[in-house]
Amino acid sequence: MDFFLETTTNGIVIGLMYALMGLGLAFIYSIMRTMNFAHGEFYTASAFVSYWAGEAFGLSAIEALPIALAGGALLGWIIVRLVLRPVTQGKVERPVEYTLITTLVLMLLLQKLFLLIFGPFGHQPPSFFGGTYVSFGIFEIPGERIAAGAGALIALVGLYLFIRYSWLGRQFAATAQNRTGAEVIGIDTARMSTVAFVVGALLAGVAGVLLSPIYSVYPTAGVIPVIKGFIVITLAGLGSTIGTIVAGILLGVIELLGSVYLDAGYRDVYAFVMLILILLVRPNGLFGENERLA
Amino acid sequence: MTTQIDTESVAMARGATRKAERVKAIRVVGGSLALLALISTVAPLLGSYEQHILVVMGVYIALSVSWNLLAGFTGLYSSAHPAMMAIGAYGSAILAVRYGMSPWLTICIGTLLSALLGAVLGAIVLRLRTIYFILATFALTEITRLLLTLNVEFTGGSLGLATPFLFDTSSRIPYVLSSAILAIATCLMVWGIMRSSFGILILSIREDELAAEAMGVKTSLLKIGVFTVSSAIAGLAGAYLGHYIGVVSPSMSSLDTLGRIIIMVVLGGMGTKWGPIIGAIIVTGATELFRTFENEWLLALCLLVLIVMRIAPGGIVALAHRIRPSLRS
Repeated sequence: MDFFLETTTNGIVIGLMYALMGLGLAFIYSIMRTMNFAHGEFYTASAFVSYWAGEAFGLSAIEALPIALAGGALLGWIIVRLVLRPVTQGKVERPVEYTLITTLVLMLLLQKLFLLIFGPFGHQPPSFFGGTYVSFGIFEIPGERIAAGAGALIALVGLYLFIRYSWLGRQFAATAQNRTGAEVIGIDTARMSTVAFVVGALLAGVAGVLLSPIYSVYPTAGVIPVIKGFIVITLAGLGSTIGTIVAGILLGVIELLGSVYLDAGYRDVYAFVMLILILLVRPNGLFGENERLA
Repeated sequence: MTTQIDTESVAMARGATRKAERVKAIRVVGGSLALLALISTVAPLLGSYEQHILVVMGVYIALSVSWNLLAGFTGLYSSAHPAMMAIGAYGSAILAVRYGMSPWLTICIGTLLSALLGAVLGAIVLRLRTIYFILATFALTEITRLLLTLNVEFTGGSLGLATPFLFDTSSRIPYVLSSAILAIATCLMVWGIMRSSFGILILSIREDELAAEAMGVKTSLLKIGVFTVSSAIAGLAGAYLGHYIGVVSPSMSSLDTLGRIIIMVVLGGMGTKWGPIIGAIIVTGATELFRTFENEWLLALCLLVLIVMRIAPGGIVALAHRIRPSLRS
């Protein structure tokens, strides 16, 4: 029983990370109607910046966190302003295909860049909790994972407050709800794409900084998280925020239980099979709405 | 951006009169044979390294031309091309290694396997909306890689599987010729499809699927057909490459491979007749030349593609048209 609880708690922590990745992708989709294939590189970039800050200046994990997040956000800003500018300005005939090509190529570019700067091997960014365990009576959890879970929760609450109470967040929500309506009341919708990318980069960066002390960071570290993000938003259906969080946690728990009680090697295969099965039964995701075609 | 290319490809699909058609067919076949003769005379004069580049070039021409049929002409941005390539390669390699069949036979079986899986999986994923189609095919590529890595006793795991060579000789000349035949046959097949009445139907799917369907075009059947054909070509190219290099590994089914194909097609000119061929020749040639600093070169290449997407979305072919409008491809 305690083993089951331990696995489930670990699953929830990992699931929260998947939710962070998925939320960023869903935000970008809600404004731009396209998918960012280079999203995993925000995860890697922030983790690498955190590692670099720790190595070069001897900063602790908490001190390195803002620098790492700023690095990821800067990357997001660069991508949306330089690479995706034709999409945000509505100058592209087929935005989804254009973004697929540019962000996929960008993903390869950034991976090669990381490879050139940091080399092919894994690095350990500064840890938040040392190697200690926290006991919960009948089971115990590595402190690092507690820190990761808490950090993810703080990020989610911060996001909620931003969307609900800040002017920028409310503009953002309005644009996601009805682009034309938002334009009519004077919201700069092109700017909202930038907001979506920066927020997405911040969320992925949080996941990267929190998770890489556990898994270490290497140039292609972002590939698995971004694919998990895709699975989460497909599970949830694009456009449902609560659904995305629930789907993330669900995926994390199912994966860990599956790898503990079935076969650990096939952990990622379960997730992919789940993705394809869901798309077969519900082509618009579990909580997704049908969209008009014409 | 597309108007110029459209008129060209529609004209390509419609063809002119019967007689002009026959003259053109003779010219194309004659040109291909002349090209083959040229390659077979020049190839022995080259060093074995240059011959190797030619072989790889042929394989990548087949891959990029078949992906261009999917993405450039039909508008299906499939990420599953590396998966189909790996399925053909592994199907062929496993049969040849475990059951001792001749590579010639197993390459055929591998191609059929890719075509079959392309038809079945295509029927499933082609029902999805653009964005979900891309995600699902993305997942197919990753699943294939994972399954190939995990089933160690059958596939050799991440180390790969050593395969028998296609030809017994140590000379590379038979490979240069066979890979040239592979590339030319692929081009002729795709051009043939685009010249036939299917060509117009395929382009109508790309331009406006809903309208095409309303006009009575059987879009879903056509899309499955295109997906099957391009999967078969990818499988053939993968199987051939495996029996040339002498090893297949799961990394064949990766985003890196997909990225390489996309770079070639975009650089050359997407949705054009010659674009993917030019792109494949330039990119493979240059990649082999810059072998020693491959990472820096790939980085520069990615940057170049991003710039091309911004300032010249039609790639090299569109640039050539802009410089010399009289140039007909």
